[in-house]
Amino acid sequence: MKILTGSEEITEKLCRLYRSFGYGRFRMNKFEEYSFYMEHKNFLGSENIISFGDLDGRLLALKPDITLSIAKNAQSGENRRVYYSESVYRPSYTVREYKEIKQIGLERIGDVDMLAECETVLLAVKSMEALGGRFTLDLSDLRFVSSLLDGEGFSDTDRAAILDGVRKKDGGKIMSVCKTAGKDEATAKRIASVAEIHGAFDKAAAEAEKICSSQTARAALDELKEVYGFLSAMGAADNVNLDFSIINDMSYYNGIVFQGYLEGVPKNVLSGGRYDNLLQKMGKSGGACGFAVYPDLIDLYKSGDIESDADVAVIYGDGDDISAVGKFAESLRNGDNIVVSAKRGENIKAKKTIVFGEAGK
Amino acid sequence: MKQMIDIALPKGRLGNSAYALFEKAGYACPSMLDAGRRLIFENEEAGVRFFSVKPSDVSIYVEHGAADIGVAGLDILLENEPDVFDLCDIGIGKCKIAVAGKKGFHDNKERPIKAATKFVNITKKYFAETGRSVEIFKLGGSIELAPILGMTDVIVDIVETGATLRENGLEVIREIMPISAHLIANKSSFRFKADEIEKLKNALLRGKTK
Repeated sequence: MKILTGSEEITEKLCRLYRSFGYGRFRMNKFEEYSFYMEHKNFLGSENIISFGDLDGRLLALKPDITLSIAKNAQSGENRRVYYSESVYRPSYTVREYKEIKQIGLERIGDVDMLAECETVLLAVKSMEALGGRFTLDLSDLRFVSSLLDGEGFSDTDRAAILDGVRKKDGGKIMSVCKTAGKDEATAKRIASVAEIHGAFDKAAAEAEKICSSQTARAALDELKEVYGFLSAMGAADNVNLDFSIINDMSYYNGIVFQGYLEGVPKNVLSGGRYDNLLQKMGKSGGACGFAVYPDLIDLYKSGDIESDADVAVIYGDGDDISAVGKFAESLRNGDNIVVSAKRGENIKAKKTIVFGEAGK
Repeated sequence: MKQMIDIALPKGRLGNSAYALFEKAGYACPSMLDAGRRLIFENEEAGVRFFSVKPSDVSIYVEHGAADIGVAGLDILLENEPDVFDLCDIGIGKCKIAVAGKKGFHDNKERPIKAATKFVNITKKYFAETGRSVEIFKLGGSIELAPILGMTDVIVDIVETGATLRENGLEVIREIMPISAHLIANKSSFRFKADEIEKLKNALLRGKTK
């Protein structure tokens, strides 16, 4: 299947998908108060925000994120299903400069029960399917990983170092932090093994069972299995994996998290999860989950070289009747790209070139 | 069709040792030995394609998916902080990052210490952790010259045997951390070639202990 490239094509397809599940379009302001983003900079994972002074002296920021704004606008007790297709302003993927980056995604806020959560993950799978090509959607649950560390008396620094090790699948680093913190070999190995768990859901879940020793871990694993069961029933579980190296900031995310990878794109093109904690930080009740897709990344890595600028180039000369040239080009324009050009020398590469006047001869 | 694994190796001595380890693990690519000006070497049967790049660029090739896996020094990983999986320490290229200065150097704590280095991030982090204010001078090479010419008080650099330091009248003041080469993987490639990459990693680790 052809992989969709071109942000517009992807946007159109995904938005249609989200509407078919009853989601409504959310439109937002370009700016927010700078202090709002700084308050939640851990959610953004970055302090790099474009800020500027408004005419009344307030410090504003060009939005670096959509989820924060949607959560901020949510009312306690209100159920919302919204999707968005917006630009955010973040540091570029490659060099240190700001870029306008497109984000398409959806948020479910309010009474988010198990079905709502499952449906969100299903939409993530369907989004990946819609992009075309080989993909994986990897599930994880932050509670499972953090419960392994709870009660072990790790300092905040050690805890952060271990989580970083899990994020990088760096078992060696986890072992060394555990040992420096005075843990025995068996405990260190058990904690380090979580970084190794990845792959096809059933097989990886069986591995997770072996180190599932607390009630919290049990609840997390059961919930992951329930989501996977739902996806299986919906015929959408084929490319769904379990991978505990997906770790987002735990003060915002509090349950299932997931990332989508497309073969040939070096970074995840979809990212999401359950973030009730963000709402609570904003003093709101209710649950929340959602995800975002990054079409620019797909464009950057998947749009190949184009062979030609147009299907047909129509070349006309000084003496040609311009209306006749226009009509002739129009007659060819049956879904093909037809370009009209004054002379051959113009830098247009077309699959076929027709000289007007010689056509039909 | 067999899935090929693209492997970025660092040019130079570390790359040679790394290649020897791959060879021992059953991923030989004989054309590597007859390198000439070629940049890419392939062994279709073993399912590997090697290319040699500047050591500090390995993590860039891997992070952006041009290579599925690569061998990079821990110094490069700590300095560049690439978003990659750090699969294991392959036990070669062992050395350390250290602070070094002229023999008998005494730190004047009344002003920031001046340090020359290629490793700005590591240096910044080290002095922040030790609570010492620092002025960092980023250099591309011949770091040892900086304290000799009086431009800086110390250097932060890789130290293997310490011979270069000694020859230039410098000595290690404090070791910051041990360094060795790590096998890293692109986060997306790992998901699509997990079996092949795991198999290769395990073969390398078996070779390491032999």
